Amino acid sequence: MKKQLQKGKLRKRLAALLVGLSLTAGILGGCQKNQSNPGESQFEQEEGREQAESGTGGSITERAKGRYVEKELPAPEEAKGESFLSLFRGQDGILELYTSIRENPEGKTGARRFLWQGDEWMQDEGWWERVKPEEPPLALRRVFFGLDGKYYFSGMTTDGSYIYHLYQIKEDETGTAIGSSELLGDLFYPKQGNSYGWIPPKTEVGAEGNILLYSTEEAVYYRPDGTKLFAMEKAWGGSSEDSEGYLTDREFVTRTDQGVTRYSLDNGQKIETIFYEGLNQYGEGLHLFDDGTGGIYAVNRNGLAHVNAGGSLWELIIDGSMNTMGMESCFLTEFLAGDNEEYYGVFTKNTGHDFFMVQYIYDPDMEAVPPTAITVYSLKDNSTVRQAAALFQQAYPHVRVEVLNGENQNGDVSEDTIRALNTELLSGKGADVLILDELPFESYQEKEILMDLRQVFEKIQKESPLMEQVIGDFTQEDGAIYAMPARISLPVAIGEHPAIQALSGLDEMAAYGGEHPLFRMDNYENFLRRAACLQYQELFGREEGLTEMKLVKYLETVKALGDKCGAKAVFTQEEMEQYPGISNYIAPFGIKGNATNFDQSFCDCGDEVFDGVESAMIPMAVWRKHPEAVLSTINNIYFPSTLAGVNQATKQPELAQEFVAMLFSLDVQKEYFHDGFPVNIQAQQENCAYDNGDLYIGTGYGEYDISAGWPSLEERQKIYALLKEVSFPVMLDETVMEMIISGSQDYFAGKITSAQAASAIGRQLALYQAEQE
Amino acid sequence: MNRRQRRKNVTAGLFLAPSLCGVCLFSVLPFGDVVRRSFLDARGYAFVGMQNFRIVWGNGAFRLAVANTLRFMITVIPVLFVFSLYLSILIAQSKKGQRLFRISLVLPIVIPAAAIILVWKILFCTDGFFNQVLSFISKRKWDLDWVNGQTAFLVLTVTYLWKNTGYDLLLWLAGLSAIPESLYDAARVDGAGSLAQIRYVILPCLRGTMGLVMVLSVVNSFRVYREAYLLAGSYPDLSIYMLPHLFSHWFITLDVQKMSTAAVMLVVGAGIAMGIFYAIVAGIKHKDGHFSAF
Repeated sequence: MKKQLQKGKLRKRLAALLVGLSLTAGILGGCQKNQSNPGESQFEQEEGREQAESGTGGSITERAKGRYVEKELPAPEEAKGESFLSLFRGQDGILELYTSIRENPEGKTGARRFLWQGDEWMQDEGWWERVKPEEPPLALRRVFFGLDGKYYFSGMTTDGSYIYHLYQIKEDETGTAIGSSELLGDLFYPKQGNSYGWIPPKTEVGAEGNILLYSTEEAVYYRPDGTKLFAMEKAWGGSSEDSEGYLTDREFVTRTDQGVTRYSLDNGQKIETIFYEGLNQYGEGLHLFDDGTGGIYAVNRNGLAHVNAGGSLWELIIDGSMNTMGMESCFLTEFLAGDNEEYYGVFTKNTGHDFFMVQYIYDPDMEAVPPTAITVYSLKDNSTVRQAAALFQQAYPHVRVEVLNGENQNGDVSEDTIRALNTELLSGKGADVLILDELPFESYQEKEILMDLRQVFEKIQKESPLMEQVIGDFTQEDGAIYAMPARISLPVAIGEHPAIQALSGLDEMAAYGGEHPLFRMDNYENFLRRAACLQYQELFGREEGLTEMKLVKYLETVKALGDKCGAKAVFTQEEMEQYPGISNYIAPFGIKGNATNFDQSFCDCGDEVFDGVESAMIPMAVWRKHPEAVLSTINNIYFPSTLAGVNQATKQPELAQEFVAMLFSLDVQKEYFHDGFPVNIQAQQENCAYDNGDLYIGTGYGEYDISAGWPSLEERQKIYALLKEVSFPVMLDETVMEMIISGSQDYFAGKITSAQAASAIGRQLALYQAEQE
Repeated sequence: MNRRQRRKNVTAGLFLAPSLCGVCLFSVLPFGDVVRRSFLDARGYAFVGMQNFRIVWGNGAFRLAVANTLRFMITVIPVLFVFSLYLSILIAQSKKGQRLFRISLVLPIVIPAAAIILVWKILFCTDGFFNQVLSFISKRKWDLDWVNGQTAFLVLTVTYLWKNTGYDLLLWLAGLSAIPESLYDAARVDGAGSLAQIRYVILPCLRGTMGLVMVLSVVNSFRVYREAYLLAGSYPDLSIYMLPHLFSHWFITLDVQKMSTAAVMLVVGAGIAMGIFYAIVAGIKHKDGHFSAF
């Protein structure tokens, strides 16, 4: 009996032990990450997972199908080279396109109306001539179809008064436009004491004929007789015609700071606000439009999202990252839904001129989600990379490109971000393509984290060559290429010969004794950074590196430069007010842009960093004013950026390499994102030939101002000729710079000597170097 | 060992098993990998023998970090040990305000390091509180950079003591509360004064607590990196450049082989030190027949 009892106890204990073990195993198994077989592609893993999930064993499950695909909607021939005005569905739901004729040599302006006939655009000949008012002379701004079934247009006077006008188009019995009548005229004239009147960014007309006028922070609803009904708050928006909002029969829907908000048109009261996560992803606007059943469509670079009436969950219908919506080279100007679940988008190139239209059609046979994905990682958001990603996905519809960056909500990057990336790289994971700006590139190279891309670049050089000197600078002694910059910036100097000559070395800079200081007054940190960049070869380029002796000379040079112009560690508010243009801003490479300072005779050298022709507009205007001045590169240095490499551990080397090739392709390289010149020679030639003659910019402070147009062909050729001269990439080690900046503070404050400061910095540098031994 | 004792041992073993599994899984096995990596190249592919050990041993940054860490430990641990014990005895013996003292001393533990450092910066920056007080007293301008100059070690020491005194104090108080009142009574009857009571009652009774306080103080001294980093950044004054600084930088540059090697060297070094310590203790035990640290 006793034995039986003991046996029973033993069984119970064994059972308890087994349960405990199985629970432990279950928990540990549950915690374990899905380990992929290194040789297995993501495609195969996905298939395996689908098989497992479907429980079909050996047979491969059909993937979910159906995705919107983008195709070009050809613009009418007559509209080529014209500016886009409006696209909407007018009477009977017909798609209508309006373009404006840019001012031609005869000074003629005008507009065209096109109607979509199912397969082609048909021009409504003489439309503008019929509807345009006799007086005043008007440049058309926008045409729209009111909810009351009538057509309207707005425009600005071209006689110099720059007054907004709103008109309703009159039609005869057949619906043909025969003229126009003005609405709310007095409202837009300047009030007493003002130079300009109200210029509503957008105007709409409701079902009852009431008029909604947008301003920067609210939309105001008026009766046609000019009686103000109420105002509704909206998110801040500039003067763009694409202000965010639309009217329905009973509601006004717009973006507010909290999300997308509906207002009642009965009383102007808020009905609800729907939070939208994709709202400010790229800090850009949001196009909103009605789905016809009370639901809302929202479009931005994120894509087309939809929320049902009464709902709060947004469904992403078209992923913007996979088509033109996500491209950096253009921005969305108009978006609307068609009759048959298709959508139409109008995009304008960054240059502000050329527009193109696309159509989004549902393809039921296209896989809903691309079966393959590659990841591109950069520490900071990178426009060139995003452009390449969008184009890559168009070229490879079965591949999804995930573009990730390490910025936090404030746009900063911490060391922890690099540590997290390193943890992934160490475990043989991490992004397929790495953008190595501000990452320990040389260390990755040494540790063989990066793939040798020499074959990729050999192919590129054969098909669409890159700058030889850049290729040379980033090719290792054994011919390997681990990373290559997709962009370069060009430091230049404007000044007379002696000043330009003085930039050739530290001693020359310190000894410069021209009429004015070599550089204008600035904070010491900018001076330190600038001198480190300009004299990079002298300071860091030789075998011995940055020695204590060099440090002494470097600090004394900066002190001498600073003493001549009144540099300070930090400027007070009073000082900044006293000296217009002076600030505590720390510029990239320490160069704030000094052409205008040179122009005002604050200094003898106007150093600038060109990242494209647009950035050279003001400096070239200054150079034009000073025929005695020279425009020159500085010690043949350049600043590389968008340094692309491929992770050695990538599971998709071919795709990763293809992406790198895309980054250096003409289509990506020719676009300008304020992040540097292309390294692709053909892109340089195209950019050099491009004439953006309509662009004018100006700058000024205090009593000084200067405006500039697009540089002439000769000037553009000069800029690109300078680009050919550069041969020395400057990549400042930020850790070293921080050590120098913090270690030299007491020296510039006069508390210690240059030798003492150099000694203290030298000790820190020695430690830094020792870490890397 | 009888059956009952064996059963007790098995039960205890079963209770300890999950913890042991955790330690093996999350500490022993990873350390095994660290040892493995110390003999491999940076990517962990090629065997390089003792090369990593030679490199790390000859590395100036490693030597400086080890020296600073040791210096810091040697400086702060005895001070913390004595200071917190002294305070705990005072608090234990005080009749009033015991709770208030305890809370005020324990408070720094719960304040986030970032908040402490913010206050510290206000106190120690060039135009901070201390410089202003000194300027006021000496009638001349003081703009000493306490954190980035030669005083950095002092600032870090004060920070560590301020932050950790409360923690050690709690441990001492727990130990003190376990001493029976009768022992004090007996000592008083024998004519022992306050010092004699400490010498003959408190210290012998706190022997177990001392070991615990010592171990935890050593462990906590490694954690001072957080304060050092927040105070002076990733490259502080050379006097407060600690091992975690070096490890952090090696991780950024992916020098995992160096980190692994340095970790192995530290463990071996600590093991040797502990071995010597225990050998000495064993020697004392053998000599006296019983252990007495005092």
